[in-house]
Amino acid sequence: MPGAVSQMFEQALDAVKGWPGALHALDKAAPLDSDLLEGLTSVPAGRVAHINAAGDFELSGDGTQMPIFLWEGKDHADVYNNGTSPTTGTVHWVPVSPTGIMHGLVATGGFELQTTEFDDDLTYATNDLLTADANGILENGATQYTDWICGVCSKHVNSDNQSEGLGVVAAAVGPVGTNAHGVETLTFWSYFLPAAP
Amino acid sequence: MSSPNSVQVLNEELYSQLETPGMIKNAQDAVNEFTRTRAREDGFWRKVIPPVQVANDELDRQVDTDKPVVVVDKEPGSPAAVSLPFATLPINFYIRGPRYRVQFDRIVTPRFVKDIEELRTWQMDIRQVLSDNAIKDILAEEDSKFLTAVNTALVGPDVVVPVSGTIQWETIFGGISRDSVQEAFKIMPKTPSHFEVNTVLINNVTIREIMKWGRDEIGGDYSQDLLKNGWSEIDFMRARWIISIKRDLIPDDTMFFFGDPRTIGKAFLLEDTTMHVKREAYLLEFFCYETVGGSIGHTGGLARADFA
Repeated sequence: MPGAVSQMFEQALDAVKGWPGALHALDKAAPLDSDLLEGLTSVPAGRVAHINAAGDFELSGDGTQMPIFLWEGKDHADVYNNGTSPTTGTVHWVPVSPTGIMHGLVATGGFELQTTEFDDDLTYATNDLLTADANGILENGATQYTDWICGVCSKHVNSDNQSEGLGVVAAAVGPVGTNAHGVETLTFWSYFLPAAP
Repeated sequence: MSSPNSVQVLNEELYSQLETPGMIKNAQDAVNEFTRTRAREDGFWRKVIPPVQVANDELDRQVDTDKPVVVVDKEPGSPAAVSLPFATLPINFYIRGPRYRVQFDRIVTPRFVKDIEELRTWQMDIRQVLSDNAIKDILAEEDSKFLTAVNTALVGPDVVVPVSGTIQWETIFGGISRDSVQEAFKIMPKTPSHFEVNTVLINNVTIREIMKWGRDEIGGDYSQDLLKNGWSEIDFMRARWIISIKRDLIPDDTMFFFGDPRTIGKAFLLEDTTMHVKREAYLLEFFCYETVGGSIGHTGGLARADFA
């Protein structure tokens, strides 16, 4: 597959505490909403989502919608095998598997997570409350008891050990830092506080 | 029929096999008597496209993912031959061709958990529950995914399939008669691919419409045999017939037609159905799982008829 590719760690979710232990983890599998699955909207791993009334994943959340952090993106090989040409719209193949089922970690589980999917134009501090924009990208600035809260900022871990010189771990003072793949991440504890009615 | 004592012996054997925590054993068939509440059956996807076991070195590595993928070549189109006068040469056609991906996912049953002291009072063969039902539920999920893909490939009833330019999911009026079934058999060879029907998939209710055929439709003593003995044919009308009880997947008065497996696509097994059994102290847990992949690479070997 010549041409530009995104590496598997560029948009990702990591669980630095609380998962796996996969047989007991509070994860949730569901289909991605078909409009999202077949449409152009990007749904990478690491975004926050919820399950809608139809039982499908949709990005972001509001009200009492339980936040779920996506482990897979829709372009992952075990989620969706799109055989339709983006050039001509021709259906070159139809997948029997996979069928658009994704899974994520439920915010009320005991997790410390690290995601690439956050608004890196903002400044974050440990213990900031996290909410999300319409695309499921995490951001701070949320108001307690008013906004839909899906996490609390932690302190960055798993730093890149080369940015400060080989073998020297970069000092992390807040939740944002560069991970070992050289990708900037936000580390947080999953938490859920519904939005005010 | 196994006696309750022999079943208890079997269960005790199972307990003894579970003495090693974390032990994984391959699922095996078992036979016993208990009251069934729902009929299950083997899957038909594996009959239509027999899956091929894939080894690690047969997977195609990708740059952007470490998840397993197999890339399959597909027969390319080629220009027609033309007639020419003498002293000229043919035009060029640079060789390119299509490929398609087969990707994998995992099918699992729920993880069943039980205190083994409560299991001791069961007289049925617990292995029947462990293996037979769970495996058939996995096969049912395979079938569901396969027919969903078939229906997607066929676009919809009485709609032209863009790739073939013909209708391959056709409503045929006149009920299920000798004439209408022959019309249905014509759907597939009418496509530009010209494939013939290899396999017919029909549910166990619809097949009785064919068993109603009298001497004027099916001829001779065969009509009498159908009435007296029921449907016993596997090969009929130069095709293999698969009768399924899965009416939720195969609607009544519907027939699916499949060409030779080579004309449809690929089915791969990365890990065939496996049962994970684990005993930790007095808690038993088990579930079945498999990793399979499949893609329909071409629509020419597919057809569906809805009889109205």
